[in-house]
Amino acid sequence: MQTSNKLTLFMPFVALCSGVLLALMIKLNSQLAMYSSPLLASWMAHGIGAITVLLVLFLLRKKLMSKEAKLALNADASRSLLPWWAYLGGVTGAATVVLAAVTVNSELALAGTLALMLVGQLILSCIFDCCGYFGVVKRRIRFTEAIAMVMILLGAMLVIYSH
Amino acid sequence: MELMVLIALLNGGLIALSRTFNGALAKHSHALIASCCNHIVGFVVLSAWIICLESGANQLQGQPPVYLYLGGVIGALFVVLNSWALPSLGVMRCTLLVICGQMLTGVVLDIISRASGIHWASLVGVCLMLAGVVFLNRAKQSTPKVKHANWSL
Repeated sequence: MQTSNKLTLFMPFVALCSGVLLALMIKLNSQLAMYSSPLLASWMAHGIGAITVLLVLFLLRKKLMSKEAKLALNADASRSLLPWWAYLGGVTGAATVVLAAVTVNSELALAGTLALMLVGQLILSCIFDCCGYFGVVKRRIRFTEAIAMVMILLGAMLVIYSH
Repeated sequence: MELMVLIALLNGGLIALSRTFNGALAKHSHALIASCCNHIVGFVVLSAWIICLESGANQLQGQPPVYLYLGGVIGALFVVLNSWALPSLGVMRCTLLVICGQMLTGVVLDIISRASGIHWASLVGVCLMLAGVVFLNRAKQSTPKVKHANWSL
């Protein structure tokens, strides 16, 4: 499992990059929302995203198929059974857009909404990690990780409220 | 006000939930398939929502520049990367790193567009976050080995 080890070292970088993409996406989508509403902007973004992924899947179908076939050979029974809730990521994602539009237009404004959303994210992700809900590998949160979390949260709050 | 605070907190929770669901799907099949499901389901739900609301606000006013539509493409890529990384990092680590990337890019975008002058507080915030990331990566990972059966295409 040497590749797996290398991947684990590489993954923090991937996560950081996805954060960069998230910021770009939010910037573009909020500009798009100025031409209509947050709801419509999110709707268009989801549609375009779906088309993009379908296109990529179509282009890579041969490679994926051969991979799938290999996987099916050494897959155990539990792996092939996909829990129904795994498909619901899109529902929560869609609800996020609408709820954010509600809170941004309240007294909380953008800064307050962003800050509270970060806190909410971290609280729930700690719970998931500790309890191993929804297929997450159960792991203890270490002291150093908790310190890093406080530092990052504080830094994020400073960035958010300095606007 | 309290209600809004609660809604915003709940909203953050929904993001974590969405991330976890997509990660589970990616672990089971492939990050691309997770992104695909996420976007199709989201599109259907939002379509239903828009049709039910039937408000005049949900109409395009004017012609937005084409590059604004790239938000959807970037969003698709975001879900792919995010759900690829989540199973081996754990939800908390992944969330922290995504937040960092997001905030740092936000500051850089602000500098580029000069929307607002750079405040000393955001510089302190950036330094704190970078230090936090270094700290996070120095912390010994309690992550068990995740089998990345099909991480590559």
